[in-house]
Parts: sequence; structure tokens; C-alpha cells
Amino acid sequence: MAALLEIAGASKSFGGVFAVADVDLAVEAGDIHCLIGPNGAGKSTLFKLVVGTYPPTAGRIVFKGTDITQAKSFARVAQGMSIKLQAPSVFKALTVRQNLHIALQDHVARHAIGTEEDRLLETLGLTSDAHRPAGLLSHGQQQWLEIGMALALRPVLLLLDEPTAGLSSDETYRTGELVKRLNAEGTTMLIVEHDMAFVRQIATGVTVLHLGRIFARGSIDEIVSDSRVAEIYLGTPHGQ
Amino acid sequence: MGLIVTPFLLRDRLDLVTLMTNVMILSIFAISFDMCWGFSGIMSFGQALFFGVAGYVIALIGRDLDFSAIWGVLPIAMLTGLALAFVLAMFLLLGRRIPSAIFVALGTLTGSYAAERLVSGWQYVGAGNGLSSIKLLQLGSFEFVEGFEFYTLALLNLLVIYLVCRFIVRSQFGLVLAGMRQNEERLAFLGYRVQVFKALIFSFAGMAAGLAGALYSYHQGFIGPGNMGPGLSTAAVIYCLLGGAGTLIGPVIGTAVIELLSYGLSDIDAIRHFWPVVLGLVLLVIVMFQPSGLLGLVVSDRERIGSFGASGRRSTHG
Repeated sequence: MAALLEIAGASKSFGGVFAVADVDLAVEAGDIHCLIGPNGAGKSTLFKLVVGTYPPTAGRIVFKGTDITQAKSFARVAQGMSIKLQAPSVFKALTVRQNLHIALQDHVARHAIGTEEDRLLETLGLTSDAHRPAGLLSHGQQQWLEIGMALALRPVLLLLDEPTAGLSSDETYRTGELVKRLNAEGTTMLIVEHDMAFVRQIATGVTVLHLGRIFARGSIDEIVSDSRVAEIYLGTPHGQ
Repeated sequence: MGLIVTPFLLRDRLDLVTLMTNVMILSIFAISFDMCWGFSGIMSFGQALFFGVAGYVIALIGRDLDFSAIWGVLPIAMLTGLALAFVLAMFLLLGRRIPSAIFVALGTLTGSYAAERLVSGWQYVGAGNGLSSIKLLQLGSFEFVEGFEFYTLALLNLLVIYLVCRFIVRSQFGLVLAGMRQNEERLAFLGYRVQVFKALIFSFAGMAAGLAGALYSYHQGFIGPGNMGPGLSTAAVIYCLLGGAGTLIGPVIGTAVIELLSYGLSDIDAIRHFWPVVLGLVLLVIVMFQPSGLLGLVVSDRERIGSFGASGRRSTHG
């Protein structure tokens, strides 16, 4: 069976500088695939190519067997893709419930929205904050709300850009458990992450990007024991 | 309510009734800008284009076809504004690339400026002199002259536009608009066709501006190139920002304050000459120190946002 998401020879240049160069990546249905790499490796750019913020300079992106290289973001979302951006970008002036409502109302029957909101609030542990403006939530809670909004779309493929940035170790662990539970329920994940403990907790496969190119790929154990990876990633050998 | 009793208080002062009528017509215009900027984040710097063109269209229909029945001309004016705004939206909003706010602001401004220049040199529509002695607006054999009757008509129109806009911004559609002006990219990633939403609101606002333009030219008996140029377009921005963008009632307050001040101060020569400068300074002060406008002095941001659709109703119960 073909991969759920297939990126073939994707490149993106900004004014002649290649942020992503000739990347091939396949995410199989059921995977939790993690993208790692030092800052400036091209991870976020690659994400933006997948969600359609801009088209690639070269290469192809295929999702569920359909070429979506030129499709706009809303069309990709309609096909079952959903993203949580790196910086929390919840609608700060709206309440938590309204944030979820926006995410839901486009594709959930009107009478079912309330129940679905309650279910998501419960999952996210935000029930008691439902009527607070999202801008007043802690950073961690905003991250969770953002994940909740991405989940509200019931995506086939969920893209998470640094879901644990700014979270405490306990919150990070709970996020990892949430990711695994969602995966068990059938959501495929592509995740950009820095926190290696988190990657170890969840990943079924890891790809390392460096200077816009694929540097290494394999299981988490293969990657952490690869001395070349430790060198580019941390500048020093990585023991853990 | 104050607007309803005003004409009874001012029965003997026709000039003031006329002034208040003007305020209400311009308020419709200011609300149309608020729908674009305050609610949808579209910086329309050419809102007068729809106002002016609709004003010209009904003036020409009166002159060349001798027709001014209210059931025909007001819908025509609204359709004119709607169609024109839709065409502009096709170019500015629905292109392949996602337009920046600056691109839209310059595009609408250019449209407004180009129309003013074009009309200034076009003899058929009166060139620089505009069109005057516009045929009076009719309902059956009744003619709306300025004064109490026109005041009532303007008030009714303002109320209808206000209520329709209020309904829109408090619906689920309004919730999307609220999301749109806070974070467009996020909304696109939730599967919304953001640019289509913008084009819809922009067209609707063009329709409201067209209605205001028609009422204006019937009321004044005159429409000129200046009524579709950047000057009036900027006035809409000032009315709205002064009163409080994103509130619907703010633009009405802003229009009233500016028009009443302008009327009161116009007798004083020293100020009249500098009036545009005063307005410019007012705008600068608002943007720098009171971005939420006059209304922001009395209500908090939280209250201004209000509630939307089903989720809003839930929040009142829970």
C-alpha cells in the first residue's frame, strides 16, 4: 500500500537559498513520525510545504494517493490534514469554547457541536476554563487548546510543530500519552520536536534534517546511537 | 431612541434636521467600512467608490429615464455597490496569492482615486461639476424632500442596516470573522476559505455603501466626483476609528461627533481652513493612544467582542 503522505524531491528556495533541498519522505498510515534537526534545518519550511502555506520550488507532495502539490491549505484540510503551528496561535480574544466552536462548526452538524466541544474540553482538561478568553490561558494550556483545535477536525494526518515547546516535563509526558492514544485511535502523526525524551516516548520512526537535506533516518535507537547525528544536532556527542 | 425624538425637538430647525439626516446616511456608510475593517480585517481605503458610483447611477436614472420610485432605485443602488465591490474583490482578494493588507488598502484607494479622476473629466456625468437637481425620491406620488420625511427614511434605513449587520456579526459566520481578523492563517488551517469569506463581506459592505450613496444624493440633490474619491473614503475610516471599530454603534457615534463638530465649527473661519488638519490629527491621536475609539472609553474589549451563534448562547446558560 502506498504511504499516506509522500514527499518526493521537494525543494524550496527563498531568493536562491534552499531552505529545503530534495527531500524524500514517506509517512505510512499509523506512523508517529518525528522530524528532528538543529535550528534552521528546514523542518518548519517542510511543514509549510505539506500544509500548503506556499508551493514547493520543485518536487511533489502526494496525500492519500492524490497529488496536492499545488492545492491550497483549505483543500488539504478538507482531505483530512490538520496542523498545530509552532507558536500557539489560538484566537486570544475568544473564549476557549469559542475557539473550539470555530474549529468544529465547519464540518460538524450544528446540534452535535456542543457535545463535541464538551468532549474536547474534557480531553484537554480545560473544562473549568471554557469561558475564559484563550489569551488568558497559560502557555501550556494554549498549546493544548491548539492541539485540541487541530484534533477537532478529526484528521487522518495530524501535523504537530513542536507540541511540547514551553511545557513542563509533566505536561510533556501527558502530551506524549495523548499523542499515543490518538494514534491508537487511528490518527497518523508527523511531528517536529526537539525534546528527545518525548521523541523516544512516542516515535515509530525518525528523520533527521540538516541544512535542508535529509541527514539520517531510522528508529529512535538508531538515530541516538548515530554519532554523526549527535554531532550536528548538539555539537557534542549525545549520551542519552 | 435619541435619534427618534430628535426631529420633534428640532421641528423648527430644518437645518439641524437636515444635518441629522446627513449624519444617519453617513453612519450607514461608516458601518459599511466597519464591516470590512472592524469585523473582517479588510482595510478598504476606497469605500467611497461604491457610495459615489451608486449615487451617480441613481442620479442618471432620474435624469435620463425619469425614474425615482423608491422600490426600484434603492435596490438598484444596492446592487450597483454589491456588483462593483464583488468585481473589485475578484481582483484584490480572490487572486492566486493571498493578498497583504497593504495590497488591499492600496488597491481600493487606487480604485476610488481613479473613479474620481475619471468622472471629473466625463461630460456625460457632469464632469467636475457633478450632477445636481437630482429627481426627488418617490413613494407612489409622495416625494421625499429634505426634512422630517427624509429623516424618517434615513433612520429606518440605518436601523435595518444596523440590525442586519448585528445579526451577521453575532452569527456563526461572525465567529469566523472574529477568528479571521485575529489569525487568518490559523483559520485557513481549520479548513476555511478565508478569502471567500472576505470577498462576501466586502461585497456586502459595498452594497451598504451603495445604499448610503443613493440616499445621500437624493437628500443633497447633488452628487459630485468628490463623493467617490479618497477624501470621503478616508472620512469613513475616521468616523469608524474615532467611534470604535468593530462595534457597529461606534461608527454612528464617530460620524455624529465629527459631523456635528464640523457643522458647529464651520462658522469660525480660523478653524474651517484647518479642519482637514484637525481631522488628521484626531486620527493620529486615536491610532496612537485610543485604538478602540471613543466606545473603548466606556466598554471593555471583552464586552465589545460579545457572543456568537450557538456557543454564545451556551455561555449565557453555563
